[in-house]
Amino acid sequence: MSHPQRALVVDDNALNSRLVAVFLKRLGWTAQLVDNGDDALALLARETFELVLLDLRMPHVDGVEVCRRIRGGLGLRALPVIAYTAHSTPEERQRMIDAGFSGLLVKPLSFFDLRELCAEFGSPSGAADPKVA
Amino acid sequence: MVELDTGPDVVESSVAATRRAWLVMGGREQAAAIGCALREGGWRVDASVHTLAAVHTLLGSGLPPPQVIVSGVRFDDGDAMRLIRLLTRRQLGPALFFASHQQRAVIKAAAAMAAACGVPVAGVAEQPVDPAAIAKALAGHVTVSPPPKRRIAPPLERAELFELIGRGALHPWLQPKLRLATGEVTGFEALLRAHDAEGRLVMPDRLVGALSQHGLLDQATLQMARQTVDFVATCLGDGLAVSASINVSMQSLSSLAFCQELEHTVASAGLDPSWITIEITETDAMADLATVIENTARIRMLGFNLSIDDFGTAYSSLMQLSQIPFSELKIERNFVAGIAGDPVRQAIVRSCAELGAALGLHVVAEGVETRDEMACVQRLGCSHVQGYLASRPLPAQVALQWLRELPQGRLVL
Repeated sequence: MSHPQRALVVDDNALNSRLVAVFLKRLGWTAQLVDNGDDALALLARETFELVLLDLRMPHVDGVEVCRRIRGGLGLRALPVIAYTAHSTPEERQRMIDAGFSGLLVKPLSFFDLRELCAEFGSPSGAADPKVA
Repeated sequence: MVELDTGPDVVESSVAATRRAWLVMGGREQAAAIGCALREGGWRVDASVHTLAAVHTLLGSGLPPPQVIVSGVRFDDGDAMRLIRLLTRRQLGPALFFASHQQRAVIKAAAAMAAACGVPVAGVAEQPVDPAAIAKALAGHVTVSPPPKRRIAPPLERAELFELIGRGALHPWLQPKLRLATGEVTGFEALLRAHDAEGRLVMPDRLVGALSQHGLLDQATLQMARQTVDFVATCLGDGLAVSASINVSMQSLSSLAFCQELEHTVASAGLDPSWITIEITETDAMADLATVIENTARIRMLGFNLSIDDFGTAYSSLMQLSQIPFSELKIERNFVAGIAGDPVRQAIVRSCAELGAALGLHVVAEGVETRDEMACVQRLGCSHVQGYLASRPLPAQVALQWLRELPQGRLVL
């Protein structure tokens, strides 16, 4: 079995991040947690991740701006960056895709949504195959 | 003070033991055939009349009212709707059984009107009206005690409400909401309950109106909200991803102090507000548009989710609805009850589900009590269900235990 895939979780809410980390672990991923956009950008400049989960509502630098810098400044155009948001209207979805996001994870979080997302954006050779039927 | 000329008690009790019916039918032949079939079925047919005027006379005659009136829909001097009014005004106890050659929609409307007036409906028979089938349908008829005899506990007084709030005796009872595609329990609706000084459970019908009338609804809602928020925070800490919804009136939402307190409540629990859904009723959502948009937009801006409750019960303007930033639509339970055999309810639920899906909303069918109902609403496009099939509302500790025992947070029904 290959090494676990790594996800970067960017959320200023600790309860949310911990829950996502528990779920990712259950899916065979490892999660790195940061609570702000600046730390996320610094980490992405140094290390490799297979997936970024980005909360849209954060103080200082919001999710949309962080995504713009990941695509622009860091030039990580192929990295799956997922917007974590409570807004799920078709309009909002399109707005996020236009802003450079690869997809949406709608709040409140569901394990099965996250599993689907990991299956869609994770590498098939990784260990991200769901352990749970 | 009516003196009955039927006299002694013996006659009264023998009358009470007999199943008595009246016939009110425009057609004499049909009435005779139905009368025969009922007698064969053990009924005593005390009267068979053909006009409303005759019913008037009967009602004034002192003859004890029957358990059932088998009625047509059209008479020479009126119709079943006027008969219903007659029975409503008199507050008599008989149930109505409609037997008619009229179109189904008309018979159903008459039955619906009777139900709306509090007149029990024993059944309906459509064309071709088969007297034997009517007798068979009525064979199992059980007389329900008339509503006036039922003692309804009055709403609580101001002092009692103060006492409950002061003692912290208002609690959320939590009813799970199930996501159909995965079987996940994704959330709970918090329903208001109280325990009085003797420990007896007090239901919302005695609380909500009274709290609102005495200006205590904000305080009560916040007391519920604090406990609901704690419940969700505990679940998340345990790795259980569940949200909760709280019913909030538009009046409460109009209060900045209320919204700030709600925001403070989630913040002090460390909870992302999107785990809390604010439910407003469709009637509230149809109030003054500017006010509704102002209040709902603010609550969304604070990060809460927003649900429209009892959808289908008010006269919604779809244009107005589309301008309110909802995240969820809950279909009223009356459209769900018995949906599997009812094409009209199916059409309503299908169109609600399509509307919700097009707007990117979760669509919750409320009041789902059977597997048939669940399968039907799923087929019609609802994404979630809530109702007794999954669980009755539970006290928070019980709900938490119930949730912990579900494998992977899923309920297989």
